[in-house]
Amino acid sequence: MTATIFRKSETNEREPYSFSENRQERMWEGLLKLTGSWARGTDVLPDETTGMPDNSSTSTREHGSVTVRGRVDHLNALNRAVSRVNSLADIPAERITGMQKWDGRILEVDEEYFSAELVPYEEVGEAVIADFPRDLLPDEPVYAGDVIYVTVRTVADRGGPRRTSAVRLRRLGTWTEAEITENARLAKQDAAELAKYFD
Amino acid sequence: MLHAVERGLGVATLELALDGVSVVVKGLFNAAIFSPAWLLAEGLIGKSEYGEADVELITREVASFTVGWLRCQVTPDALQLTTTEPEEFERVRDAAVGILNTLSHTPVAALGINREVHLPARDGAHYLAIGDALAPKEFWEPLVDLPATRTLTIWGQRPDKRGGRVQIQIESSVRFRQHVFISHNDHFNLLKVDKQPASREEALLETVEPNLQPSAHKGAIATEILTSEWKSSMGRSTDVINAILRIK
Repeated sequence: MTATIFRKSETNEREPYSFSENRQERMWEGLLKLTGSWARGTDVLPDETTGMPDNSSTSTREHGSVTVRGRVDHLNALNRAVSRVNSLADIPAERITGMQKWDGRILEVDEEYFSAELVPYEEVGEAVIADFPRDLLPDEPVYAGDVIYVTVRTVADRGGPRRTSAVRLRRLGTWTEAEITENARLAKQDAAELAKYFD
Repeated sequence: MLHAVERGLGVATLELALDGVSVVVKGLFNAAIFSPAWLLAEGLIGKSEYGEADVELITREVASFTVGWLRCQVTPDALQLTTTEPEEFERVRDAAVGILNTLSHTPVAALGINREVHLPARDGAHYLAIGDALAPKEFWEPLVDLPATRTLTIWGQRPDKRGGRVQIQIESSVRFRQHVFISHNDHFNLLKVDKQPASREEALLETVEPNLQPSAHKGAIATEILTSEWKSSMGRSTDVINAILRIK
């Protein structure tokens, strides 16, 4: 079954939610949170793996800068230089009100289109095969076997709600010669194993 | 009008002022090698993201830059990848997996999969009701005038046989008026456990984690967790968001 051909989305051009007024502060708070452990003078790492504090506090208490010494003096200096701008941000005018996601695998590529089998992210619902124009992924050539992510969402902005879709290529890095060789060996091993079940 | 999010993806119909994820890897990192050009060379970002690169700082000890949807911060003891674009959540995971695979000999100690949202309350009464449901005020009312919940941290046991914990923080959002900030930290210490504590008393005894010695072989464990536990983690964070949203 061939599903809808999705239009190229303008979502890639969308600005992330605008927090520019607190950007520097968040950046340094994040760095200081990450570097706070250095002052402990131990090779044992702290266990905290929470993310960058995205809810910058308006409180007047210090945010860890007192724990960062010595090796990160330059960070302290920069931290002191960062003024605290702690006004409440307005809610962004553009808000996402709905999103659906699919994981996809490219099956076939021709000059203008590529076909992909899409499986709903929630793993509820049937897989579908969809055709997409190749210029949705303009960065580089795509090949059968590549994995893509497809999202369709509703964005409510001042002009009213609009549906947008986007296709993104999954990137897991470049293969090394050793990895290719190892995968080839494993594939041969699997092929030999499967061959036992056929006459 | 707000609707409950559906389990799993978590952004089906809910209006969130901010919905972001981050992957934090504790370990021993050489910040100087991290740059937009390096990510491009390693095939972890595309040319379009590279073209949008915004480098804030790259030194021997600290790297901080943004490439399109991906924010990368590196210090000697941590790597953090972040996005606030829900359609890019999976590519943050992929970038983390790609980096760990590329730096396969880098000692790693712990992994965090984090979701942070700013959830809108329907109105002031709903905003206060959320705080009251999570931290009842009967205890506080005789002690302070007009007590209100500002911040709350809950620890829970991991729902699997992996070492670590689940940490949930609820705060008043200081970014958006009348919003609740929710942070869901799925923390993995990259150790296996035979069983999780069966009682809160037992869990109390285990609040101090074993020393997290960075080890090169834990990088592979971290990538395996990112690959196999991602959807589960996103689903559980969505359950928390949903539960808080349902408070009346």
